[in-house]
Amino acid sequence: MAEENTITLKSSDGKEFLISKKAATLSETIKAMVEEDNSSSVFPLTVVDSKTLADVITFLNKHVDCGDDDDKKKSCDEEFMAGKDDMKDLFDLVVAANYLDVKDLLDLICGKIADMMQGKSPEWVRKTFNIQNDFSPEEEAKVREEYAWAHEGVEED
Amino acid sequence: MTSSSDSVDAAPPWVELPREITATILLKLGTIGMLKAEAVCTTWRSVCKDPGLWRSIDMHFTEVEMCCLAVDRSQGQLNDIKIQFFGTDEMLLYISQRCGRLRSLQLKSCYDITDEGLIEAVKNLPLPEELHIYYNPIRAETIETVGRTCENVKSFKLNRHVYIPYRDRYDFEALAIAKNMPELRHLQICGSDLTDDGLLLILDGCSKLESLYLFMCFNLHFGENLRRLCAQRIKDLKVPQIMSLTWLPSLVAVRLPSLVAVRLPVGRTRSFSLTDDGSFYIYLDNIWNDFKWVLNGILNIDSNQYLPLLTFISSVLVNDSTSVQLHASRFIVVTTEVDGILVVPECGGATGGLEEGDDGGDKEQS
Repeated sequence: MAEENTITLKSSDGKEFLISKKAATLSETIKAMVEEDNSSSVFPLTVVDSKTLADVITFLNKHVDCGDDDDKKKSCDEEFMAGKDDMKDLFDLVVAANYLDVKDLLDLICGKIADMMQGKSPEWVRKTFNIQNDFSPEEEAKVREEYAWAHEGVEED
Repeated sequence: MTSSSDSVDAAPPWVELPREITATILLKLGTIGMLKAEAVCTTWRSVCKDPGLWRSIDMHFTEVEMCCLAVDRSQGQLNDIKIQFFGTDEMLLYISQRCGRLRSLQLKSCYDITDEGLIEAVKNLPLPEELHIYYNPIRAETIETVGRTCENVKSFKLNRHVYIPYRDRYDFEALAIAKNMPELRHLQICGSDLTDDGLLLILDGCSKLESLYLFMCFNLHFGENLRRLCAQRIKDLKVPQIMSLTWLPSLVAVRLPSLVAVRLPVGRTRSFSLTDDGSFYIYLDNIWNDFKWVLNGILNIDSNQYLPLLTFISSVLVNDSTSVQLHASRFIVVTTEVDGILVVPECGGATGGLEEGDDGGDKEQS
């Protein structure tokens, strides 16, 4: 029975991915979809593109294989994250993990993003994360005063 | 500086992420990282204004002002706080006055926080269930007062890295714990004058005790009866086999600045500590396993200043294939006076080996 328990996930750009129900339902969102509509076998995910979905599926399959073995999960996660430095990929993954409600993946990606920011200056963070400094001059002065130390002891950008 | 672009390669709009994702990311930066992140943009600043992000504060090697800022952000919702290597009595009082719902207080190597400061602060903190004090040498009387004030303490850790062999009084701490912490479930004591009698008092007074870790309590013989009683009563028991008075002669005390390096016998585990008066103690024990953390701690200060010590520590790591576990947090008080290298011979005999240790030989106790 377990063998037959697969479903198809369809990405926003129309690609289809076969995945075991067990892996797929690690996503709370997919789990809810499957529970709601037991007769379907194809579930469209309109906000996740195929590149990101492929990544998510790799993650879910790895986690199913790891079972409850936390050490194994940790090394799987490291393997999964290796080389994932592209800001666009990370952004898409974090949005997908949030939409699909996969807590472990969301934690993993958020942790990676936080690691990148750790010890960096606000300027570096703005540049890397494409964030405008939108403080008004008055606010900026206040922030600068309050966080004078935020600019101290940071790594060279 | 483009915020938006029609190009396919446009940088992703991080600032437009749902607030809860931004909050999840910022939370992972830790307390200090979050305070810094507030300076990035108004969106992040407003996300960080949520007191829910400040329920758990963990800070080390930082300024009192930063800690107070983080405490302000929590708007009284602070649940647990961990402070390492900084802090004052005033800061602790500030925290206690604003965070009456605090459940867990951990102080690690906060050498400027006094017994009196702790006592004053806990008056505002009726609720703590966890009270962990590492390397702040608090008195038995303080434990008594704190225990009476915080009636709910379920987990108490008292770690010292200096064991001072008292000659005429034992078990004051044990008595203070036994009498004033009846709700205790978890107890960890390191570096205490605890004896078998004292442990019996604790077992008697703390009837709900589930886990008990005792290290570096050299007066504890842990006799047959006690062993049996503990096995019956305590689910989770950690008492090293080697702990006994026979380890005491291996204690070496030398005054700085004469000592910076020690040769260790392979296969033995030792811990080190530096006391306020500049004495350097070496112990045989098997307790310290936060070695990496300590190394980071040293590196964070000024690696040039501690180069001799780092060299020394890495040579221990290389030479000794058994897990050498060191605790060197007190090394942060070492000043640049430490530059010469003196090798103290390994102390295998009944008396601590000592070389050019000037008047340090009789610094065993104070």
